[in-house]
Amino acid sequence: MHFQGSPNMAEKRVKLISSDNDEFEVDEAVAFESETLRNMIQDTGTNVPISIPNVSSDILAKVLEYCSYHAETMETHDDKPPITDAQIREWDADFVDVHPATLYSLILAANYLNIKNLLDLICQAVANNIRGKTAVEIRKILHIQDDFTYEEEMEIRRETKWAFD
Amino acid sequence: MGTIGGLEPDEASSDSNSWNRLPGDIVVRVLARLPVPQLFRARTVCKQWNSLTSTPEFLNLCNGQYEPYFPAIISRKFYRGDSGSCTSGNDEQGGNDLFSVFFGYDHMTEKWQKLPPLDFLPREARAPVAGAGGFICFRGASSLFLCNPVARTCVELPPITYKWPSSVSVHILTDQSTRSYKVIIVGKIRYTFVTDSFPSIAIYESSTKSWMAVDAHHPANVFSYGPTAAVCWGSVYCEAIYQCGQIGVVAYDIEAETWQKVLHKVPLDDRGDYQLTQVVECGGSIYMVLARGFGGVVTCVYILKLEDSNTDAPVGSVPRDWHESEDPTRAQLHPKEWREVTSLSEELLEDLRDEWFQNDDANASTIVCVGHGTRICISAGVSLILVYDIRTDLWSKVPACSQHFELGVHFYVEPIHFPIELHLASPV
Repeated sequence: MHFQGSPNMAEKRVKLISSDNDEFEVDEAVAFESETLRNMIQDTGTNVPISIPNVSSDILAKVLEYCSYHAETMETHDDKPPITDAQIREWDADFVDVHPATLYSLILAANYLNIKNLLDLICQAVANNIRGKTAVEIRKILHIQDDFTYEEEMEIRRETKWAFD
Repeated sequence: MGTIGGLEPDEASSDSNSWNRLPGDIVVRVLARLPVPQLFRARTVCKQWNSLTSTPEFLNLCNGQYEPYFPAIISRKFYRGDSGSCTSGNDEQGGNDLFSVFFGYDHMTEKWQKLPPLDFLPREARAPVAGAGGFICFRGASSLFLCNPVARTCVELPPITYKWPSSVSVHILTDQSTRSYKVIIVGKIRYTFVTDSFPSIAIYESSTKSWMAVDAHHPANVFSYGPTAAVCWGSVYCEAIYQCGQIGVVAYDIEAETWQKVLHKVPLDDRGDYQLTQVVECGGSIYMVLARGFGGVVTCVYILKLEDSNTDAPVGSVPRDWHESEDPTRAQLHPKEWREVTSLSEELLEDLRDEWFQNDDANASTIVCVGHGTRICISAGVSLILVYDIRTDLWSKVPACSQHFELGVHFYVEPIHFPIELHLASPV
């Protein structure tokens, strides 16, 4: 079935099913924030629920919260002033102010659902999180196994010694 | 070291949340957003991170859009004469030992970061004068050196002048799309190829590898240029002194190769003589930092912003994003006027005076201003650095750099008047 844009697009609803079988219903415009969902909807339409087997309901809820807000920022209302860039930045900053484990799940979901802005936002948040940290601290935050020998690590340090002072 | 990010320190690293399990293409998206010193530290996190960030493809991912280090401080050996030679060794082959200290302040982590050594520079490179896009420009006796301190590369630009006057300002504009750059010098430059030497702008274009002298037919009534200038929206805003004694800026449009007709004069008031005037670019706007007073005593320090005088714009017409909506060619058509955005509190002013009292060589004229993003830093020496945040309208102090400087008779430490961006490889 070919997708055709319709004037009452906002009324179209899409059903999504998380990995733990929770059902979510959102406006089509919200789902369209995800490139993956957009492609699926264009293939199968909005009548069939779309299952997202690798995103749990708590993470999917977060992702849809993001998509809803950003779909809303695109809309223009006569009675309300448009949302400013500064307001969006502030909202985004609050959105990613979560535990690293949640960021980890969000990053995978954003990657799978192909929501570029969300992926960029989380990558920036993680980069900000580890800015100014030592390798030991970064390993703890991101649960990374140190697989270097002492000599190997020293060898890398030696090349750019100034950055470690 | 305690818990970090709310995690228990001994959580197993083989758990389901381990970043070891993430696909490499996601990991590089994060690592490409780290400033260079942090990236180098991140390379020692694990083998995967080291190999992912050591590929040529990774260089292309790094867009260098992270907050630069500013202000930066540098130590410099000084010489008796301008052309005095170094103490020993061969000038041609010897490394540069002029700069032993090089630190930059990271506003995000609120820490000082050591910056890469500059020992690879040729000895003739004497003073840092400009920086942008991963380049730092150093001034030599008669030419400029452009270096990337991370890649440790350095090129000497063709000579332009036989002697540098003290009051020139140098700027770099990089264009990633055409992989080219321009170096702009503003001041009383004595060209070797132009007889009219006052006052003017010289522009070096990397694509043609040549200097171009700007027609000195600047707007009428401009008597002289001040020592500072700033580049904003493709125009150079030069500090100007008008024949009537008033100060302000006058803008030269680099692309259009024209001086703007409008003179942006600072309105007169009775707050005393100018002890300091510096033009600063910050977040896409032009600011002027001024110190005024009587008989060498500074009684006020304040910041003016050059804004469109059309203030009755309808509510809701706020641009979503200034770099998208603002058209630089159109922006100059708007009449602009100076608006005072802030002034230094009496308490901070007292700190400034204390700093000058303790240091005989320092006064308002040795202040170094540097702007970037939402902040304007005012360095009254290396131990007193004040920051004005445009967004919050608040002043704060940058903690002093706690590094021990090997200072002595032949060394001094000074703030640099431009932000330090570091790139693995210069984008142009």
